[in-house]
This record gives sequence, C-alpha cells and structure tokens, in this order.
Amino acid sequence: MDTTEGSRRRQRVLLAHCDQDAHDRGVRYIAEVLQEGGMEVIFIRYRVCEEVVRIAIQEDVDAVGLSFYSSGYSHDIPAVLDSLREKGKEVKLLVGGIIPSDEIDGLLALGVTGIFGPNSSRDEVLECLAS
Amino acid sequence: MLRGDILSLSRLITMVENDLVGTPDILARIYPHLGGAYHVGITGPPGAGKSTLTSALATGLRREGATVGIVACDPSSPFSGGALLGDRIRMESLALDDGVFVRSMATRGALGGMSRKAHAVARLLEAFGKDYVLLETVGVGQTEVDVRDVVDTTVLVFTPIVGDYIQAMKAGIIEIADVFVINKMDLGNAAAIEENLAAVLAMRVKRGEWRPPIIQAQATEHIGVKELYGALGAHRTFLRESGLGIRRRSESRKREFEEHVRERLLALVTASVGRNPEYLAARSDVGECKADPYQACEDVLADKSLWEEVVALARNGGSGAGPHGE
Repeated sequence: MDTTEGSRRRQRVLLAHCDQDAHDRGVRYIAEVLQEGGMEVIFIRYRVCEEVVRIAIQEDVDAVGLSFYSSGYSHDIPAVLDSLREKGKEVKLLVGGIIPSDEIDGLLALGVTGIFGPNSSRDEVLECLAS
Repeated sequence: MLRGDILSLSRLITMVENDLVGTPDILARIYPHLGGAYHVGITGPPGAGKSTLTSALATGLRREGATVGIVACDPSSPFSGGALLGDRIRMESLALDDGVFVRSMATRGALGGMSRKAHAVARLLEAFGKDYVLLETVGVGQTEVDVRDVVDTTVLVFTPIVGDYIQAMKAGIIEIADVFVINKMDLGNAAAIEENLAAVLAMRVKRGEWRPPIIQAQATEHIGVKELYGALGAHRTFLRESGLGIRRRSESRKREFEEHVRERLLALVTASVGRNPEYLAARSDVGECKADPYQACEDVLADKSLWEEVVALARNGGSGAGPHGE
C-alpha cells in the first residue's frame, strides 16, 4: 500500500568545486544527472578543503564529487582524503574536470574512487556511485 | 552523540531520516535531554532569501556566543525522488565554524513544506546541545502551517516583489507568523507593504496578544538581522511571561504523540491488510470495474479474519521497520 512519505534510503552526494574556479558547468550537469537518478545532492563551493570534509560529515554523504579546472587538485585531493580518513568518515571520492591522464593512476592509488574527465558519460558516473 | 561526537550525530540523523529500525528508541532516549534549545522556523515563498537570512541570523547568534543547529529543507522531485539541496550554498561563511551544525534535508514526499522528520532532526540537534535550532522550510503556500506546530517562533520571509502576496495570502499564513520579514527590501516598495500588513495585523491582534513585528531587511548585506534577533528575544520573553510558551510546547508534544500512535497503527494495519487475500481480490475487482471502491472497502473491513491478523501482528511485535506494508 502507498504511504504519504517515502522513507527509502537515498544516496546522498556532496558536489563541490573551489570557489576561485568559475568553471562549474560540468559539476552542475552532474548535479542534475544525480538528482534525476534519485539521489539527494548537496552542492557547495569551497575556499579551503576542510570545508568539504566538515560538510561531508555533517551531511553524512555516501560520496563526494570534486570538480577541478585548474591545478588545485594536486593539493586538494590528498588534503581531503587525509582529513576524511583522520576523522573516520568513509566515502567514495569522485573527481571530475580537467585531470592530466598521466596523473590518473597516482590519484587512484591515493584513494580516489573514480576520475571522470569531460569525455566520460553520465552512466559511468552513475555506475560508479551505484557499486 | 551526547558526548559531543559530530560523526555520531550525523549518523543518528541519517538513521532517523531513513526511518531505520530503532528510530523510536533513539527519540525516546534523547527525550530527557530536550528542552534546552530555542526553535525558530523560517518559512516563506521560494526565492525570498530564507537561506541567506538563516545564515545571517546564525552568524549573529554566534557573535552572542550561542551555538546553532540548522535544518534546511528542500523539495524532492516527485518524479525521480531525488533532490538538489541547495540551501547550503548560501551558508558558506558558517562552514568552518564548530559552533554551527547544518543539515540539508529533502522533503521526500511530505505534504507540508517540511518533512516531519525534520522535526526529529531538530530534536537531535537540541539533544546534542545546540542553544538555537533554526528550521528552514520550503514555503509553498498554506502548508507553512506545519512549521508552527514544532517551533517556538515562526518567521515568515517574503519580498516586495510579491507584494500582492499579502493580499493573496490566505488567512492561515498571516496567523502563523510571529515575525514578518520583508527581505530584498531594495527591490520594491517595502514601506507600503509594511503599512498594509500592519493595518491588517492591527485589526486581527487582540489586546494582550503578541503583535508580530514587521522587519525590512536585506539579508545579503546583513541589514535587518539585528532587528530580527531583537524580535526573537522579545517573542521569547513574551512566550515565557504569558505562559503561552509552555502551553504551545505541551500541545506540540501531545500532537507528536498522537501522530506517532496514528502512524504505528497505520503501519500495523497496512502490513496485514496488504497481505490479506480478500483485500487483494477486492482490489483487483475494483480495478476491473467489477466492484465499486466504497462497498468493496466495507466488505473487506467487515471481514473478521482481517482484524484477527492485525491483532496477531500487534502481539508479535508489530510491523517493524517503516510504514511500507510490504
């Protein structure tokens, strides 16, 4: 029978990009894709990485998606991963945007779950989150 | 969580939000720790600037040394079930402040502009030790009435652009607000709207009752926030001195109890009815126009075995997790 309020567990995802970076079309597109996929998406801009970690904890998200256009990823990704680990918060970390292909393996080794450049498909992202 | 662990708090919120087994236990256990927070509801039409105002208010409260919990509600898509919870983006200045905990919540199909679970989450924040809990809700019209039942002070935020909002406002909305904020005052004739609203309130408010203040604001510039803080303090004092505060909280608790009992009963009944063969057959008949829904309903409910099943289920500990009836 139907109920008035759905209480199925929903995936919660935090999408973030550095507020110095104006290139947010990709991450906004992903926000739409995830919402259509039935997920609850929290969208923020951050100045320092620690904001991402705190928000990920408060919102108890299942995954964090970071979007980079400029080279901040080499500092921000390890910083976020370390802080999440230190605080005991387990999440999938997805990275999107412009990441040089020769850096991908290194980032995956650090603990990034998936890297999705401009040529990746929405299905790839959804699959990564579903697994 | 009671010892101040943020990770625990956020996980408990998730459990309560998803109606996982044990939610009533959680709420029962935190009950003794309630009563220490002041609850403020911030509601109004979309685009009024509620999130910005909530953030500005929280900043002001922090400056006074108070800790703040914020629950920000946004609508779930009725089609996909997903949601874009975008209130947080207006609260960036609070992200690094240890004294503020912000949780975004999707309404998930709740009929009011606020999921009833938002109230439970507000309770968790209170038990955690927050001095103030700000509950920001999707304002969709007359359903703002929800908020009033669970907070101490209700703030209605709107803009001069929807000035006709006052005229168009159904009685319920004017009556639920304890404070009116005309935000984005630079965008229209806020003074005229304030005058109209004041005139309406003057007719409605009786001697001895709370006269809701009307505040002009520009939340992005932090204009009007001090006045809002003052209005909250004044309302809080009024509630205390008139005894109304205690009465309202008492009514609110009774309503919570009633709703919870009703929900558990519904869960119990739907769990057994959903499996009952007579019910399923009747449903199929109704679908094929072989029976009308009303007589079929009476016939199903008149069946004794259905009620025996309900009683048996109740004796065996009820339907367990969530009102799904699966």
